[in-house]
Parts: sequence; C-alpha cells; structure tokens
Amino acid sequence: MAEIDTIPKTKKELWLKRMKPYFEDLNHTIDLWKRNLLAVIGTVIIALFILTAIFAPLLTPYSPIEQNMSVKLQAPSWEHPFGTDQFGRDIYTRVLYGSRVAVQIILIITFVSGFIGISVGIIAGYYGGIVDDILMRITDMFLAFPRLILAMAFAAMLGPSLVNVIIAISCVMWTIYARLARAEAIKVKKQPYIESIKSIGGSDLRIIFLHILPMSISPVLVQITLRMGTIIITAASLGFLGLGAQPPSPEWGVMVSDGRTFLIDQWWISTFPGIAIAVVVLGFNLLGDGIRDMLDPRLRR
Amino acid sequence: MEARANLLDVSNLNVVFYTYRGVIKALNGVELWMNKGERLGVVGETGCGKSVTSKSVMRLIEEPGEILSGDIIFDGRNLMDLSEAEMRKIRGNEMSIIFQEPVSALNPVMNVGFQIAEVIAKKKNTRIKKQYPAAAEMLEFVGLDSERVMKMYPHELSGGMAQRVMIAMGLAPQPKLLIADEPTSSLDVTIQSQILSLLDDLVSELGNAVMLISHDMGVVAEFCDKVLVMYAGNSVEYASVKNLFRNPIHPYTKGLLKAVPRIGRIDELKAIKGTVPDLVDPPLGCRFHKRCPNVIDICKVELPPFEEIEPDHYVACYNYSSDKGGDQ
Amino acid sequence: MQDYIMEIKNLKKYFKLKENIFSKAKYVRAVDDVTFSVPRGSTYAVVGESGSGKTTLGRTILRLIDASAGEIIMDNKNVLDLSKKEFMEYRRKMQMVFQDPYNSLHPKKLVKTIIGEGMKIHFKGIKETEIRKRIAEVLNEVGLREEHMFRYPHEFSGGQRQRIAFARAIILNPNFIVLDEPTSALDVSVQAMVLKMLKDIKKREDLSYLFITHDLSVVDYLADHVAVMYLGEIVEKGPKSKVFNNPAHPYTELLLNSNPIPDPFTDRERIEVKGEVPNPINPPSGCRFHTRCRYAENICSEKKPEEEIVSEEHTNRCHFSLV
Repeated sequence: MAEIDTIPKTKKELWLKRMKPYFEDLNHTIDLWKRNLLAVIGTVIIALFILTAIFAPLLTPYSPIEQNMSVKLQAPSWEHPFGTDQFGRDIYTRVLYGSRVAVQIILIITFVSGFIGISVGIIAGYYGGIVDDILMRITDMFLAFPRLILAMAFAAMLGPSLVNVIIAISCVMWTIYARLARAEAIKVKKQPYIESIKSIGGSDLRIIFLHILPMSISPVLVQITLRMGTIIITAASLGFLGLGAQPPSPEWGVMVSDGRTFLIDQWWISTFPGIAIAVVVLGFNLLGDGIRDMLDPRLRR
Repeated sequence: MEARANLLDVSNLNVVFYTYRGVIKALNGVELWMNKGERLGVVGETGCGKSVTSKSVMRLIEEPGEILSGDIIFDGRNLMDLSEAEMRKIRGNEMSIIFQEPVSALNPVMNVGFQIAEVIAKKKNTRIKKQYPAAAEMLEFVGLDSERVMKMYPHELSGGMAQRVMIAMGLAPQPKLLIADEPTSSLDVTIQSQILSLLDDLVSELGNAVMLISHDMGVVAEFCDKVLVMYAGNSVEYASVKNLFRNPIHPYTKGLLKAVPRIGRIDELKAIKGTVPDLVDPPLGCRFHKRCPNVIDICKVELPPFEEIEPDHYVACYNYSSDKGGDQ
Repeated sequence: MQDYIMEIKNLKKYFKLKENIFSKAKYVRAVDDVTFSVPRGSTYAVVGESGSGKTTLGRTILRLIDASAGEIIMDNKNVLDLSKKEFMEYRRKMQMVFQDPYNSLHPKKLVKTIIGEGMKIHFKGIKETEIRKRIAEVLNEVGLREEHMFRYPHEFSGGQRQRIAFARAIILNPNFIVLDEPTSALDVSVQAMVLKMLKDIKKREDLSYLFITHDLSVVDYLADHVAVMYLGEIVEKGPKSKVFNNPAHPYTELLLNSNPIPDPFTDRERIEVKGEVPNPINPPSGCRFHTRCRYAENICSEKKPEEEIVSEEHTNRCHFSLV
C-alpha cells in the first residue's frame, strides 16, 4: 500500500492497473511451478506434443497416408526410425501426424463439453430449486454409466467416424464439469457480494455473467486440463475398437489396432503409437497434478 | 534479572511468520507478567498480536511461525528451554486455553463426557473410563445438566453451552493459568454476560490466574484486575484496570478509550487517524508513531522501552507527558 | 402529523422448513407481525440477538427475500405490491450496507467497477466519464480519494472497505439505507471513524437509516428510535432516550444490563440471565420471553401480551411492564 496512487490516463495504464493482481498471481504461480519438478516435466512433454502437432510436416520427409509396398514391414532403421507398417508407411511420420489428430480431438471435445458443462452447472447452481433438480437428474443419468461404455454406446449408435467420436466423448465428459460448475456457482451465489449486487438492482443475467461465471470458472478450467489425458485415452480406445477414426487416419488408437496382427514379429507397428499415447497422457497427468498442487490454498499465500 | 511476578514473566518475546509476502514480524519484544491468581486482560485491535502472544506462552506457534527469541518464565521454569515432550505435560495441565469458537475447538466425533474425562485422565495419569464421574462433576460445576450433556456431541450444543464445556475442560485439570482467547466474542450479549459471570464465580472459587484476550474494553473492565494494551506486536501500556481507565498514559490507549462507544456517553467519539501498519514492513522506531499526535523525532528511529513510570504502571512511550493525548 | 419515510405494517416472513412424509410442514417465524414507522431523516435502530429475525427484517424490507404478509408503505404506495419493473425505482431509493466488509465487495473487480455498477444498472447508456465523475464525488464524500477507484478491495483495510460499500450505496442518491451491522466486524478505533462518517453523511444527504445491530452502545451513539426484537417480534419500541432510560420490557432491561461497560468504576447489580434463546421453530407460548424472564408468572405462558402504549411513541408488549 506504500506505492503512490495515480489516476491512469491512457487505456494501457488502466489495463495495467486492472491486471496487476493477475500478474502478481501469475508470478506466484510460476514460482511454485519452478519448485515442482514433475509439473515442469509434464509441461515440457505437453509443449513438445503441441509443437510436434504444429510442425509435423517439417519433421519428416514422408507422407502419413501414401502407401509404398516396396518398404513394407521394415524394422526400425536410420531411414525409418520407428519402422514401417504393412503398407510401407513410415510409423515415425504417422506418430507425428497422429499428434495433430489428438490435438484436434482434445480441443474440440474440451470446448464442446466445457461449454455444455459450465452452462448447465451454473444455471442449475444459480437458480436452484426445480431447475436444479431437473438438470442434475439428467446429469446423474449420464454419470450412472461407466464413461467408456457410454462413449462406446454413443459411438456405435452414431456410426464410426472421427466427428462421431468427438460427439460421443463430449456427451460423456460434460457431466463432470457440470457437477463442478454447479458446486462452485452455489458457493459463489452465497457470497455477500452477490447479495449486495442484488440490492442495487442487478438482474439475474448480469449476476450470472459478470459475477458468478468469472468467479466459478477457474476450478472448472483446472478440472478440464486434468481431464485432457482421459480424453486422449478414450478417443484412442474407441479408435482401437474400430468405433472411432477410420484407417488410413493416423489416429494412435487406430494405429495400435492396425499392428495387432503383426505384434509377434513386427512389434514396432503397435508399440510406437502406444508409447506416444502413454507419454502424452503421462504429460497431461503430471501437468494436471502440478496445477492442482499450485492452486492448493495451503501452498499458496 | 529478577522476575517481575511469581507466575508468568514473558520478556522480549519475538515471533515471526514466514509467508509468501515476506516475514511478518508479529511480536516485537512483548513484555508481560502475571502473579498467581491474578486476572490479566490483554487488549488490542486486530493484528496487534494478542492471540499470538497467548499461543506463544503455551508454545503453540506452528509452521510457518517461529518464536525467534524471548524468555517465558512460568512458575520458576523457562518454557523456552523445555523439550516438546515436557511442554506437552504443562499444556492442558498447568496451563490451559479456551478459544473463541468453542464448537470447532471440540472434537466433533467424541461426546462431551469423553472429552472432559480425557483431560482429567491425562492430568491424573489414569484410564479415561475412570474419570467419567469427575467429568460429570465438572459439567455440574459449570452449570450444565451433566446427565444429559455428558452424552451429547459438540454439534448438538448451543454456543453458550459449548463455551461452558470448554470452560469445564479448561478448568478440569486445575491449571495455574487459564488463557481465555476471546471467550465470548462469538456469543450474544446476554449469553456473554452469563459466561463471564460464571467464569468470574469459578475462578474466584478455584483461584486460578486468568489471561483474558479480548478486543472489548467493556469485558476487560468488568472482568480483569490488570490490563496490558498491545499495539502492532508491542506491549504499550500495563496497569491495573482502574488506573488504566482513569489515567491512561500511552497516546494509543488514550485514543482507544476515546473511540469506545458506550451507553450514556455524551462526548463525541474520537477515532485514531491512520491505519494499523503492515507487519511485513513495520515502521522504524515506535510502531505507533505514524498515527501518534505526540510524535517527536526519536520516536521515528528508536523503539521506546517499556518502563515503569508510576508504581505498577508501565508505558512504552518517549513523549507521554505531552497532553494532546489522542485528540484528532 | 409526523412525516414517515417508511411505514411497516404487520410484516411477516415465515420460512418453510423441509417437509417430509412423516411430519407436517413447519415454519420458522423469522419476522412475525412487525409494525413500525421510520420518521424521515431519522435513524431507526432494530436491536436483537442472533435468531431475533432482525437481519431477515432488513432483507424483507428491501425485497431481497419475499415477505409472507404485510405492507411496506413508501410514498403512499405499498412497495410489496409493485411489479419488478415498478420496483426498480424503489431499489434505487433504498440501499443496503452489509455486515461483512471482507466479502461484500467483489474480490476481482476494481473499486471503480464495484461502485459504478449501480449507475450502469439504473441509468442505461450513461457515459463512462460521467460515472467516473460521480464515483470520485462519492469517494470524497466517504473520506477516500479519487485515485482509490483504481484499486482492488483487498488493498484496503476493513474500515476503508466499509466506506467503499457505503459509497456504492449512496452513489444512487437513495433516501433510505438499511445498515446491517455495518461496524461489527471492525475494530473500535476504526468503528468510531465509520460511525462518524455515517452520522455526517446522513445529515448532509438528508438520509434515513434503518440500523440493524446487536450492539447497544453503538445504538446509543447513532440512533433516534429503537425497536427491540426477540424471536421475530418487536417487544418494545420508542424514542431511544425513553427506551434506554426507562426500559419497559424485561428483555430490554436485560439487554441493557448485559452490555459490558468499559469503565471499571461503575458498580452495578448484574441481572442473572436465565437460559438461552429458544429455538425459533418452536417458540414458547404466550409471551415468547417468559422462559427467560425473571418477572414471569403463569399468565405469561398462557396469554400473549398486547402491545400497549407506555408514553407518547413508546410501546411495550408485556403483562408486567416495568414502567
């Protein structure tokens, strides 16, 4: 409080004042992050994963789809570091391009399920009563089934394709975010500052959008990052079962499935995409755990 | 150095808390002493360190806090030299504490009878079961229906009842010193009045010394013999209750008394200008100097010593004789 | 005739408890048949302990919760009958300051946004520069500075936050403010400042206050009229000097006696306090205070005492009035 107050004259100065606590918060978070080795590892893995997805074409001379029967089923070598599959495609190339598919899946599912989950949760939590009862019973219906089974049912119903996998998994994932958003909304709703806005005449919409949403969204966002690993696994499982992306798409689950019949003699076909899945999921989990620790109020302050 | 009192003598107590914002210098050379059977009120505003002082006396400061230095002479022993195991024998035995939020200070999954019996059993070093009759006796002693309350769980108690149970637990081992940390602040006025007169009666009967931590000048005026006023981690004034209220000397005490509303008060309330300093970065010298009407140059550089300026009236101030006394 | 800013007639607020198959619906009578009138330009204090319904009363008056029955007359209109739209104008005229200065301001908004929000709600399309001008005015009025509007609430002390909360209330030019324990979370030296500010602004802006509190010493400092509530009912009400000097109801007497006096030289007889506040779901029959009253006789548990006039404007509900 020792600093001298000034009246900001430009938009930029005002913005800096407005953002000050967020910058301080960020500094603190970075400080905690540096001290958390596993979180750092997770971040590095995810960063590499995203960079790979962006720059895949620059990292390999081959095409992920084009077949070249003359080099089929070759063991890992300098030319084909991960070997080739039964159609002579370079596994290394396909794993790289697979990361693009994975990023797409994650982004779209996260956005769709996050949007549905947060809307449903906040509406249920804010209005309470019968609205809450109806919305939450619907959520419970989704939660009653094991997630993978439900996703399989949806995917089977909609027919196998990448788009349908995205729809199926979104239908399953939103419930988690809805529950959480509802709990947060209820917590925030009870705060005296919400009542004080009612007392100056704020409408429901105003309260929801300007006050409840910004205050209840951050734990949901953390949960969303935590769940990204789950999304990859689910998508890969569906691909493996033939319910998801279809060959020749370089989706990792499909690739693992492709190599199944050759597993004894040509182990590399299934193994490398499998490792890719494992590493990326591990990365997300480490990062998620790290974020959770960093936001732990006992560590903060 | 000769002890200033025969039960408790705390001198030069320094406590800090390590936080992300920096080191909070919570106590800065606190001085405090009590005789046997005496009732000392410790008053001050939020953040003055009164609760930290009471916890330090019991050596209950935990991470991220630390007692940096100081002597706590209790009944002839310096508590700072004792091991944690020896301290445990003293806590809840020779000194005990009751808290502001009685319901949350009790164990929620044990019934009241068990919790009181446990305290007595610890003192007498016997099995807990054997002490149920003694526990019942304690409950009757604090004015509760023992048959009913023994089997109750903390959540079933009202605030007033829970505070009675806490008092029973605090007094059960017959401690030489009972520390009451804002024992009535969470209670309604009529219940507060009940609890204070109960505590008054019990302590008169048992003869324990009581350290009453409070922000309420009224409670202290009615209950205590001696008062210590604290400000921003320092002891600023110590005197008998009558002396302090009639003849306050430190500018902060004067200001505080002028700010207290009371029924039938005719003169206008006077606030103390400014705000309590941030203890991460406290002002040099006297921590009150930025708000003090009597400030002189030395106040800004050197911490005033806590000195006896009248018999049994101690003040930490360089310029107390100036009579501007807290007027703003 | 006295000019009243607000008249409250037979106001009731019952909360329904969760029913189940085995029991009939039960009600908590948080506010039970409360009637009083606030003279224009005065401070009307409502005093009571926890569970007395004083907080519910304040919120019901502002329509933050719906009343079960009764009338609230302002400008010759029953504001409880108004539609949401018609009520907006009264929203502006009636403001509230809450008890907890640490949680009643949105923690992630600039002070400017917090104070200016009311302007945006009530004066659609108002220019940002005008809002800023007005914010600077009210900040000055509550003893803060213009540049404080670019800070966050957590950068202020409790007393300053309560000033901000007050600035938010007066920016809309209200004429009636409900103060819900505005100083009970503050330290005494800060409380004195805030109380003074409240008194000064009331005079300057020609406001009327409904002051809800448990602290009688503060009432004595600020209020002109007092109503004492016990378990949802007003047991005694009247001008402060009359109620404080000649309490007619045993509960008022008890409250006054229990209030600790910060002066070790006053020697007074302490009244022994019997029992605790009963559960408001199941209030005692007859006079609700009879279980704790030292004057109680049989009639008290059988018959509910009528409100009787003690002297001009001073009424009491007791079979054995002390005056």
